[in-house]
Amino acid sequence: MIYKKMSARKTLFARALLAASLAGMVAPEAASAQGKFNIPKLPVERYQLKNGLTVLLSRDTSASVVAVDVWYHVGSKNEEVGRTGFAHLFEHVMFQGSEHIPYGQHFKIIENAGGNLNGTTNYDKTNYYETVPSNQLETALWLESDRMGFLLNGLDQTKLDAQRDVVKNERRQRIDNQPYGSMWEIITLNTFPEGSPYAWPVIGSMEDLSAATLDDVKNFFRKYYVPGNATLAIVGDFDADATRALVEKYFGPIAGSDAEIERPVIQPYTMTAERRLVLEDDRSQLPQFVITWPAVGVKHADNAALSAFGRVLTQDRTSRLTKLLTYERQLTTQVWAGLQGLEDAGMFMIYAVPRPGASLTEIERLIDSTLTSFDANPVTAEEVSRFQNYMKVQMVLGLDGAMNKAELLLDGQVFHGDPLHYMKSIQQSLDITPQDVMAAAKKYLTTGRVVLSMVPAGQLDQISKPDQSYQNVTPTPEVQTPAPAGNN
Amino acid sequence: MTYNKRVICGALAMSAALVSPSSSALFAQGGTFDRTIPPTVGEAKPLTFPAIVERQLSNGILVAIMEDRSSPVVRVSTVLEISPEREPADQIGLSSLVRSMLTEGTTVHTADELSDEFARLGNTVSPFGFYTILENVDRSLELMAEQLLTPAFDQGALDRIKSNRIAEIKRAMENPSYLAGRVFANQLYGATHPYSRSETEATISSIDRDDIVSFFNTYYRPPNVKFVVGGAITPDEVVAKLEKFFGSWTPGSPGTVVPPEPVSPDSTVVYLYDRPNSPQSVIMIGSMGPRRDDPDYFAIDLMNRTLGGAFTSRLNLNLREVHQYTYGARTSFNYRNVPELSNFSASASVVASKTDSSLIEFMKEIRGIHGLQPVTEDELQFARNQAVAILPLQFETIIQRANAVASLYSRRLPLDFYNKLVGNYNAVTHEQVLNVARKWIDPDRMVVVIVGDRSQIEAQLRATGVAPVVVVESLEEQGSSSK
Repeated sequence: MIYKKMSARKTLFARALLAASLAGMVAPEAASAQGKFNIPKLPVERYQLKNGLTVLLSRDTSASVVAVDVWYHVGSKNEEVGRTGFAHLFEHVMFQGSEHIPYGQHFKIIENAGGNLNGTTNYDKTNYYETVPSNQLETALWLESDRMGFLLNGLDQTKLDAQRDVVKNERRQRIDNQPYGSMWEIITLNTFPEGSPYAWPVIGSMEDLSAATLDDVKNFFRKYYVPGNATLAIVGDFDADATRALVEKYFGPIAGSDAEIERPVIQPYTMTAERRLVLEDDRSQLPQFVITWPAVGVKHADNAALSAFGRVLTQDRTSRLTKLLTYERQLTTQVWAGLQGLEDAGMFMIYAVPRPGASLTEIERLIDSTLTSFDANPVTAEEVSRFQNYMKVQMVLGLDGAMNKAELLLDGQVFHGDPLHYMKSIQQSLDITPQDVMAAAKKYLTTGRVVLSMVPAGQLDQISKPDQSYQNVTPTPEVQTPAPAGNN
Repeated sequence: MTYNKRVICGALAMSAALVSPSSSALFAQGGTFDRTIPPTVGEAKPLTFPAIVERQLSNGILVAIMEDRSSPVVRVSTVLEISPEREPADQIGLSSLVRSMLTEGTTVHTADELSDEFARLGNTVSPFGFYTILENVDRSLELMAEQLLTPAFDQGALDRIKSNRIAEIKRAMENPSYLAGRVFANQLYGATHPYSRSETEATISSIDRDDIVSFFNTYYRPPNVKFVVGGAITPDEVVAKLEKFFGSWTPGSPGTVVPPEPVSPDSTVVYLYDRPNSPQSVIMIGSMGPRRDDPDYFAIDLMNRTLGGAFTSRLNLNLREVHQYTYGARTSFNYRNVPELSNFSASASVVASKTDSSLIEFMKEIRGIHGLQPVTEDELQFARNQAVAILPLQFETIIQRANAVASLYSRRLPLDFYNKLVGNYNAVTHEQVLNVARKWIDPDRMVVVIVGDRSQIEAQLRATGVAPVVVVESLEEQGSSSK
């Protein structure tokens, strides 16, 4: 993100939970959790400009706002070794002005117009978006087209250096100054195979951020920020004819590219053995615990069934793992299980927040016995229909803003080639049987996994199964050179 | 790179799946128009906030209803006017434990059975509200009423919730922003003031089931309860349904109490709290602020947008864009319910090695807005444009609108607040903005809290000469400026 939204105070796992809950849309006819259910269909017009830019238009006049959202199909997985964090650093540079928009004006213009804006970078994609009052649609198209077409003539070393330091502070704030803040990057590094582009963190390392050059920015832009690698969604209160003309006016003249885009192919991967890791933090008071299995991405046929298994484990207080760990044995204050699906691969995770004094060894043992118990007591139809009921109603309630709808359509288009992919995806989840869920769990939750114990510094006796061999992956703190006293 | 690559052709990869191609690009590179000139845009559509109707149940419970047929959904919120300050001083956390216990089962259904009921509906129902499709409203209201009126207060559930709460208190201590907030409250309000009270293992442990039952029986009653309903439902329907479930609820003791008004300190002092091995320092600077219904509210809001309430505000551009000390810096007025006072705060996480420089820049911006560099006419116009133009976004969805109505009840503001919003922003004068900055942003009466690695930052902070530096050793302590 280019900046932290003032209200957004979500933890990693709060975000994970959010991502796991399905967005939906408002149907003219109400849904019923138990009756027959028609998946609501969003209106969408899709077309492509001559230069390769894909455009999605979806009209919704329920409020006088319009969302403009541009996805570039490039993320941290496209980075070179030695340049981790670059896709996200580049996202910051995109806010620093372009040939016709001076430095600092992008934010000023959108704020003055009454809009919201931001950008996000993840493993697979980078996007830039604004929601504006509907009369300001053209302003948003003007700004987005200028940085898509004319970024480099506005760029200089000072802008890059400034954003490099801002991003380093973003890393410190999100990761290095948080208790067990490096948990996520430790998990991806050890769950994905060596050299996999999903192994390194989106935010990157301090060394790699320092190494990024102006030439890197130019090359990255020329390679990935071409219209053919972008999709523009416009959702909200607009006139379709006028909007098509505006899109052509602003984006049509941007040169296309015939250059080939190399994309990493990430092969299905399973671990053969268990990897046991320990993270210490001297600012922490209580342990945490997480088990991760390599698993499938969002495009894989097993995605829905494996996601469903997470719900069976921890959806609510009667779900098997939550019931056992939080309510019956009371060893955790919270436990969450689910699939974190990226475009080409994913991870199935079980994350436990222990009570003070609770034994991580005992928590691991109970997680494992719960998983084993499915052999004797398989997933039931009731457990599956439970999450399907929630899915139907939450889908109708969940997607009621222009930007939410834009994101849903773009996700479908960019990762599945179909803006209405959500309909298939939800239908797939509604068609799932208990046998599907069992088969997916059996297939992916195998002995090859990463077991990470996180403990306050020096309290190694608190890790899970301390008698087994493990690797201590505690990171070395950053060395900052303090300014001489009084010299500012 | 060690992984495999596959190659696709950029512009053509997706074209096979696409329909209705656009007209061809006739323009030369960049097009035939001047891209440096911002587009001329039309007038914004006028904002109309749905009408809010206030009705009363037979026992006096007030209900605000916003009928909004933009989609077949309904949002119900319970607004409780029960001050946490009603808790005995040695039982801090009592009111929040009562809230938690209301979700732990009723005399009709155990908590697990309730959970089954929610799964059948497809939406959860809290005693404090729900959001659902039309056909689920009746059953959801019934389950909400059941939890509010007939909680079981199961002893086992209370024991579990108390233990979990104690764990959460310990975990919060790992978070630098939480630590800064605690020190800030102690110094601004005084360590014994109700606003500084925090749950501890001792206060939570001392609460038993009788305390929970007694607090509930005394305060969880009219007139301390109001409802807000927004969505595809008429006021008559709402009143009939609520009357059925809540009409027999009998009145209890008044739930609100107004603590003594804290005053800002006589002089600015820097309070340093040590958090070893912190690569960033959390800075939090502030003072007391006005009531939420202060006539200057709109002028204060516009002034704050200029100082630190927007990305392009002075403070954020200085600390982030010019100096790169932080990922973001902000200011806000943090309001409480009328008639209680708010506080003003300015905060950021800054790179540890620039803690001193950051503090200097913070104080420069605070002194600036106070009078050395007052808000300009242009800045005021920018802030006003932003405040007014963004309203359609803030009220875009039915849940945003329904929650906005609920916040009027909880803050105790008039129900026509949103209808007057644009007029109130437009009425703010430049003179008024200058006055509120002088009045509410006083650089010489600020509490400055810094949570960071003392060994790395203390000497530098002292050398700034911004204000005396006091090291705070404990979260229960109110530091003295005589150190």
